[in-house]
Amino acid sequence: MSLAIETRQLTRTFGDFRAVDGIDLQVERGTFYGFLGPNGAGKSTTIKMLTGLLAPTRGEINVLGRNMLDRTQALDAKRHVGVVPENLALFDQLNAREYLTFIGRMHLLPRDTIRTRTSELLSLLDLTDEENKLALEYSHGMRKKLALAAALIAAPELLFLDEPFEGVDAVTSRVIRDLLAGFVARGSTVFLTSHVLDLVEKLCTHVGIVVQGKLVEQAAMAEIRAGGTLEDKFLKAAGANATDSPKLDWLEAPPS
Amino acid sequence: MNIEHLRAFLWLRWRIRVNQAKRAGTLNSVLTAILAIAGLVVSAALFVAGIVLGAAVMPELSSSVRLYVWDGIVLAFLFTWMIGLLADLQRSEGLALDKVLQLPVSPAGAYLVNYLSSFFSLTLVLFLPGMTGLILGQVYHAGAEMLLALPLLAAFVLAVTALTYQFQGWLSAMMVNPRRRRLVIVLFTSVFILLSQLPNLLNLIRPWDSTVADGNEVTRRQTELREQFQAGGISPEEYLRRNQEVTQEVAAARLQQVSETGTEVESITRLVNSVIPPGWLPLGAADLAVGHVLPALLGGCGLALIGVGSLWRGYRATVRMYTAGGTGSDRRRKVVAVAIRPDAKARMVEWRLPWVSEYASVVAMAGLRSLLRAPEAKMMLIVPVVALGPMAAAFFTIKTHSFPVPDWVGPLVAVWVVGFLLGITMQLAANLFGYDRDGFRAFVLSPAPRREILLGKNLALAPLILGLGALVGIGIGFAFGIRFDQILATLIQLLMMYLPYCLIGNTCAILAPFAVPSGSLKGARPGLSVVLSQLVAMIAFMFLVGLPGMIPAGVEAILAEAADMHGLPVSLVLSLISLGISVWIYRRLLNWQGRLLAEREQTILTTVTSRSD
Repeated sequence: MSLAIETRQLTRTFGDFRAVDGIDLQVERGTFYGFLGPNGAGKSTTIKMLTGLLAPTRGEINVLGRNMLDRTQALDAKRHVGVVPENLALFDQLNAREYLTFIGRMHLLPRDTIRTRTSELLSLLDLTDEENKLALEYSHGMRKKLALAAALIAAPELLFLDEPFEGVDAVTSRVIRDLLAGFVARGSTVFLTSHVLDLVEKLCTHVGIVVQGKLVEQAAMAEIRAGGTLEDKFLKAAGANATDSPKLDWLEAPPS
Repeated sequence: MNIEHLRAFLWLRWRIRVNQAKRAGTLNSVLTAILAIAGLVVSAALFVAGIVLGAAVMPELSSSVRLYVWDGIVLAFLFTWMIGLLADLQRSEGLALDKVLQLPVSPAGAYLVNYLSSFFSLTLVLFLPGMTGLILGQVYHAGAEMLLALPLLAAFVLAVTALTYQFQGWLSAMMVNPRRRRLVIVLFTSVFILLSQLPNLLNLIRPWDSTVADGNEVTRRQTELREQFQAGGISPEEYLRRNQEVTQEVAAARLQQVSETGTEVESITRLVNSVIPPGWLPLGAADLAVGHVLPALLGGCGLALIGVGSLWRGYRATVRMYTAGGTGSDRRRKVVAVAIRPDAKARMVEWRLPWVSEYASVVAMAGLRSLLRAPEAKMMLIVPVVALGPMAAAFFTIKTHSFPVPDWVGPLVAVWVVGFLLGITMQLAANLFGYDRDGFRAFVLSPAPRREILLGKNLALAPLILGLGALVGIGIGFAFGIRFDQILATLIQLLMMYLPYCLIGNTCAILAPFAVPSGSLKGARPGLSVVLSQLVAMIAFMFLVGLPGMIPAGVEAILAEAADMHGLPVSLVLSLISLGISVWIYRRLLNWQGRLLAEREQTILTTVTSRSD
């Protein structure tokens, strides 16, 4: 079994608060892995540690067979990884083409390749008309699309996406889904976090559910589906039950 | 709109201020509370002081001095008011109307309530009681008509606040586009800084001052007398008598000139006060003290009209903005179909720099592209211009009064000013990553060796800092008429100093970074250690780089004066040697700094991406 991501006892604390608590992740190459959890469960913290944006307090991280805690190996791993982080990584004062050129050059791509891929990505993500605007002038959805284009430009082996569909319109969402499906089909790996369970259920081949910093479920989608829907599984893992939710009498009373 | 809405708005403003203070830490909260209490105490004290001054001192003053006093107060008021406005503009989270228009408040109500709640500013709290006291104090001597100054004062406050409010509304319409917002902030800040420097520059140049010319005239005539006396042309008594006459003549002429200047200044001041609306308050108040009511009445009506007109225009612009969803103009956005161009270039960001790696090259070009657009960098570059203003004025004074300057001074001044320039732009170099904000994440995620990122960052700054330094160095060189090889030596010294400047800046940026809100130069709650680090970086540069940087020019000066070795390019040779040493040190230390950056990049990321209010 060839693993794209593997962690052992991955832990991160902020003061007394344990945001991520001893997570053991195993993500096989060529899978579409959905990392789910309620708000504040530790998804973004985990993804930050996996991509080198945040140092773990304890534990081990291996990405594409490289130890991310070793600086030299981490740099080597970053050559094969694309990331759309939670708060993105855009330079406000660069326009879309300039930013993609910057990212392409940081991956040592030839100029012609950068130009062609930039044009294709901008066109695919419907940003061509806006390519001369600065990133600071973009709407949230457009920024997200630009960040996705930057993550893809170097044709990485592994893609980390933190809420990639948040704020993105339905048409682009469909384009991204098709693009990611093709990306996985060629043998690359996607690791994404999302709150849209339907979408995860449609796209992902494997799922991990994190609650209060702990990985409470990690299985293939087929196994999850065998025991009910992903939503049922998620709600059960998160300790929530829709039928038991408290009622607000004053909202159920007729309007005055 | 009702009183409950006004109370809610006031409470909202109050809570925003309190929360801002709380988030800035306990010490800041305590200091803010102390300042607020002190502000109220000072306000009460100013009211009492105003009454005392108005009753006891103002009646003793001449009409023109009373006008100057009121002018001074109004200028101080407007200055602090502008500072408040500047702070409001730079604050990224304001109290915009679009945040409340979904609530059950009409646009007119929200507009008026928001305007009224904007009255609770420090400037008004401090100045209004003092000005009121000053008017009330004068009633005792000037009579009941002095009370007319109170509605005049009210009209003045209405005009200033309404104009400001209209201006802010116009700016917010302009600043819907974030790119334009930053430009507006830069322009406004720059104009304010330059305007506030004007009195300083005028005071330094003193175009009206003839003291130096008088001194030169006295010296010339006294020298002539002394020569006549030494040649035996006049007796000692005659020499003493005529010497005294010279001094007395010049003093009398000077007195005459002062008197004429005083009359001239008074008439100019009255004219300016009559023409510029803020001057109507001083003019009206000063004239009321001598029983002239008309200027106060006219001024009051004029100011009230301006205030009401501004409010009305501001309201209409605001409503247009929120209902039409733009600046109110009918211009429609053009939809232009852009063809896909596979060969389209990102021009500058694609440039490859010679002799450096692809990583350093792209970091440098993308960094420079960002800097050229970033308002913070533009504001930062205004600082040297402002700081160099007084120096230029001093130089202008030296030139116009023909003070003798030894030849060796020019090269030293050129190097010193260039070093000084680097020192005052240290804030930009010492927080290299603070201005990247979310963009710094791209560096952390990148496979680039961290040494190359630092090198690229240093190269990105070079055209701005070295360009400005070279311009100033060459300018000073020509102004002092120094030799070509000395100008060349100054430029080499600039390069020599730039490398340690980068090293010090890099170290500070790695060890003590801080977040900077976009469009601002002010750090978002930098800790004491950060402020101290920045200060240490600046001082370290001055002593470790600036002073040694003057050695080549200094050695040449000593050789010229002590050993009479003129015209030798000593400074040039020594500058080349020191540049070689500087390059060697830079290359060595950059490797170490790259490792340090790799160790600390996640900490830096947390700091520079922290959101600020």
